[in-house]
Amino acid sequence: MDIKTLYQISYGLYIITSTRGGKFNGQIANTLFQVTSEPPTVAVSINKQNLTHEFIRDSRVFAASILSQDPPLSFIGNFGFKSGRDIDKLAQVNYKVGKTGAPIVLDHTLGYLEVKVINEVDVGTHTIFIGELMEAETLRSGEPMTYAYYHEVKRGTAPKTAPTYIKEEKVKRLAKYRCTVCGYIYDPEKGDPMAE
Amino acid sequence: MNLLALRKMRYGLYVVSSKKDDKLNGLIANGVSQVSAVPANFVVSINKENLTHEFIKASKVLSFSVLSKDASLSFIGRFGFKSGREIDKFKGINYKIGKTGAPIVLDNTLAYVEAKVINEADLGTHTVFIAQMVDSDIIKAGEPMTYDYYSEVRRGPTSKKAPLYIEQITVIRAERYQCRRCGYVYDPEVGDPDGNISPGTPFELLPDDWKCPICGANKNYFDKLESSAE
Repeated sequence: MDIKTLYQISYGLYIITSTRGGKFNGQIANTLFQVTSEPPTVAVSINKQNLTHEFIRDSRVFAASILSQDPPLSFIGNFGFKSGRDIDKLAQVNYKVGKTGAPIVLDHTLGYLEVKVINEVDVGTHTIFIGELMEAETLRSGEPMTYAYYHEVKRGTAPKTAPTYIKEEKVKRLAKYRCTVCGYIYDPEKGDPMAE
Repeated sequence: MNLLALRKMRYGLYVVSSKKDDKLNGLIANGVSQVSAVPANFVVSINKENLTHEFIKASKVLSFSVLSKDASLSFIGRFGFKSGREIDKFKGINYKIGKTGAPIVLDNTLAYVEAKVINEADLGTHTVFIAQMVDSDIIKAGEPMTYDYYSEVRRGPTSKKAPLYIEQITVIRAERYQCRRCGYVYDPEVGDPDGNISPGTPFELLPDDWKCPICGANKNYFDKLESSAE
């Protein structure tokens, strides 16, 4: 079993928002996906410890903002590494309230979806919320942020509550070697493509 | 409502395989996602009409192979646009049988995960299978194929049975031709890199023995796409 296999699965990056009793909250998620096209349904996996999980459970609605490649890490940090139990995450950003009553984050957003939950599946640490698409809009053109781009280019990290969190020590870290003649560093993760 | 927003979501591209008794089958899927880390659980959304759906239902095991970016359109066509009811998709393909008994496709594969089904949700046209990881491994280094790369750069078509099929809103440049059998569109701006046809080659100038890179149909199966008013 090689846990690094899991890095090869491709995802986007989204802000999942919901509401409860006049309060709003949101979090970063990568595991949003369409499950049927007729009618369009989408699903998202949310950690049970997160406040957004409580909100979706109660209101049965959520919105997803599709992030562009340009948000600063601090923007992602605000939604992904802080808890709505401590701060009002929506206080510092542009948002609107959608048809379902869920807030929709508009900053760094290419498009958004609004979803009414029709089913949920318990997978231990997380719940998969499956819902029907109520609204969808594109806001501007641009490249969506992918989970790979976030990790490899922006050097972002994932919280322990993410469905795709991998403990660092589980990853086999192979030693790098430096050539004493020219200083070239052989990195086993990259190999030497010129020499195959 | 603008369904094009859904096209901004990002996915990889996978061969999802399963078995029933001693029969093997697989299909192309984009709807694969990890949903929890400890234990590692995955979801796979599969159309109920597909033979692979029947196999997963029966054996409760599956594997998915992460496709590399350079997988040929004919390889994807074999798994994505043909039915295991008509052909043996594994014939001539490099694969192994995993710990669960499910086959694992190794051609064009960067890595694979094997899993056993622990739950499922009925979504009308599709079933969402929730499966727990049994084994995984890396086969080779490389860039994974993403759905948008396949669709926008390689110009691969999407099956009507995919969870994200949207009627192609075709902003058609002149002289594009579509395969009646699988829906592949030959675009002269792109050419056919798999068949060594360089960009800029009009359909009319393709060699007579040129075949659809997806399903192998000959030129007679292609219809000119009408230009739409832009």
